[in-house]
Amino acid sequence: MRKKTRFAALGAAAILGSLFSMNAFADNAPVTISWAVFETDNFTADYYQHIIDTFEADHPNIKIEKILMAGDSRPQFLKTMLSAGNMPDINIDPVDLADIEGVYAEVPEELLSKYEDSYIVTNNGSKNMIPAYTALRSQVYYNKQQFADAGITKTPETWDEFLETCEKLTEAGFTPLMGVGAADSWATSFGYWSGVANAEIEAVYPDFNQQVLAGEVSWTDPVIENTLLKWQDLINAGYYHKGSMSFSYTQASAEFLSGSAAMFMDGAWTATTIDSSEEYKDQFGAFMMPTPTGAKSYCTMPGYWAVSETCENKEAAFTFCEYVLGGNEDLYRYYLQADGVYSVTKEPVTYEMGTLQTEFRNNYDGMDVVPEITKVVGDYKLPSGFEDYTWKSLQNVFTGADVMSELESWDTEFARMLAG
Amino acid sequence: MKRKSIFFVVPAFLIYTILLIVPIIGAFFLSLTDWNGISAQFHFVGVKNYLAMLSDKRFFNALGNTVKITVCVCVVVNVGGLALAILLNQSGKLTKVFRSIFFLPYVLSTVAISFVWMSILSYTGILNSFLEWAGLSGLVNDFIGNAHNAIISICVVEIWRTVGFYMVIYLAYLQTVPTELYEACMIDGGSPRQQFWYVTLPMITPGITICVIMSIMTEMRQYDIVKVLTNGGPGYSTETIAYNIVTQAFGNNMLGYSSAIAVFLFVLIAGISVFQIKASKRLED
Repeated sequence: MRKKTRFAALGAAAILGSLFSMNAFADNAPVTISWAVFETDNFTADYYQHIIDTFEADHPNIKIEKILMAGDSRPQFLKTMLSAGNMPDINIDPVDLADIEGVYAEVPEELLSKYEDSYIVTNNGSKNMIPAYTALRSQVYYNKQQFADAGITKTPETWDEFLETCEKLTEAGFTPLMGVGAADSWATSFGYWSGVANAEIEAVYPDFNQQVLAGEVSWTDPVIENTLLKWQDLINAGYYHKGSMSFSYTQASAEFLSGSAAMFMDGAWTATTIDSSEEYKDQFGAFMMPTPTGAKSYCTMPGYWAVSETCENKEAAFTFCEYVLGGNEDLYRYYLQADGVYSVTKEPVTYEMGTLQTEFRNNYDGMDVVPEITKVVGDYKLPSGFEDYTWKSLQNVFTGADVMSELESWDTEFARMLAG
Repeated sequence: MKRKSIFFVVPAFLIYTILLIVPIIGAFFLSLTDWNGISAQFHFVGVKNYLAMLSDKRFFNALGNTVKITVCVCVVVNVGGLALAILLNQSGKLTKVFRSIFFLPYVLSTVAISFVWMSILSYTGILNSFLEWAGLSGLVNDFIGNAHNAIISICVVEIWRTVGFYMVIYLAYLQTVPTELYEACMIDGGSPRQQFWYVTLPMITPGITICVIMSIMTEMRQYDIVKVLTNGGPGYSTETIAYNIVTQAFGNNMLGYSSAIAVFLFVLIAGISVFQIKASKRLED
């Protein structure tokens, strides 16, 4: 009798359970998708909320939960989350993890077909990243008033002219260059590496990544050594702000905008920040950083999104990606414009650019685009963690370390990471 | 009765085993592999990771920094903590207020206080602004952007954060010293200095052992202040072992190698602690 009652109870529970689940299915109960994002002066909390609100208004059954990637290294944040079993469903900046099997889900061909072919990459045979944008990298921003006060009427076009500019600014009592320090290691060398070193290396070794991965070129190559020695010359000449190494990126930006230094080698996003600021608009210009040998090229960095393999509602996650990255053209425009990046969809999405952003873009006219060595995706990607290592090492160079010793350590670390 | 009492021990034993023993054994096992921390596959590499440590300059740099920070902080917080405890081991109107003030930094979030200190020590921060205002421009310095100064700054922040904690422990031990002993010492003509050397110090030796071991263990695992204040920089000049472990594991995808460093750190701390306990016991005897 007791057995029968138990069976009846179990049966009733099973029926009720299935009814509830059927009901949930019928009602299309909301699913929640977590989205890992990072905030900057351009990517604010309100900015993300606008994207989420717009999407949720059109997709009431999908809720987006924002997860803020804290710290200076987003890949490190994601790896920590992955190791802890809390990988967010959608990742911005997934490149570092994309070549590890089983981390990201294969992107549906239908979605990929909406993007330009040149931005679609394969990681270990898997098309697991959705192209999101392409970004221009760095130039030198300058304070127009300080240039005028120092009697500089023309922005420098050669290395010698650049040195002359620094000298004139120093003589006029201005600090020529703003630098960024310890807490934001990426930013110490970002401008010089992406604007100068990358152009110098690519001019001599157009297939640098392939060659360095094959062991045909080493990091101690004279091209790299000489370029970094020139950087050290700028530092040793006292052209950088004395407090550079103690500034975080945010502090350094604020110091530059408030006039603590006349020039700042910074990213394309700053043009958007300045254009949208009532306080600083029209006070700053931008020019291409001259290179010691006169090599002229610029690099772009593609941005990607990816859906985690652990995501329980991949369809919903891809729906969100598709919607933001082109499906809703206005929202895609909003997404791109905030940071001054450009569309990668087959149907280009454009927006009205500000004065400085237009100047920044026009400075590249007639120049060749080359890959950014440390940001290459796909088969010729550098080992995970190597870029972080170079950032640290370049800080050592900034603080006076022997360039060749540092580059030798790059070779050692590179070999260790490749073997690992 | 004996069998029953075992059941009382079981929950604590299980929790201790699961949360402490298993991870330690796990870390030791991982240190013998090349696991990247993400993929399902890994290979047994024997002692390769330990041998790699021996030729890793960055590891030795981190070890050196950790030792510097540990020695500096350990000495200052114990001497300073004991001095503060002696000063505040008297009943006075403001004694309790001062005890709270000194203890306060310890209960605040380390990350939050590191950000506050960053704004103080930055080149254009409060400290340099104050020095300039006070006409001491010669003392204006780059306190976190220069490798030598950055290590000192980390020590200063850590001392400021923890000295109150050790003060409280010393205070608790000081209050267990029977007043009769001081009275006997005074009757025998003992000076305050002699009271300290022959009564206070021997009576609080167990407290000193605890504080020294705790401060060594805390500083050997120093991570958060370094992460926020200098991010191990400039370069990797202020990296500590704990910072290096996290970087190798989650930055370089070398969890096997980072586990080897973690095992080394565990053995180092355990060795120092055992030595310290034995030395203190000899002192107590």
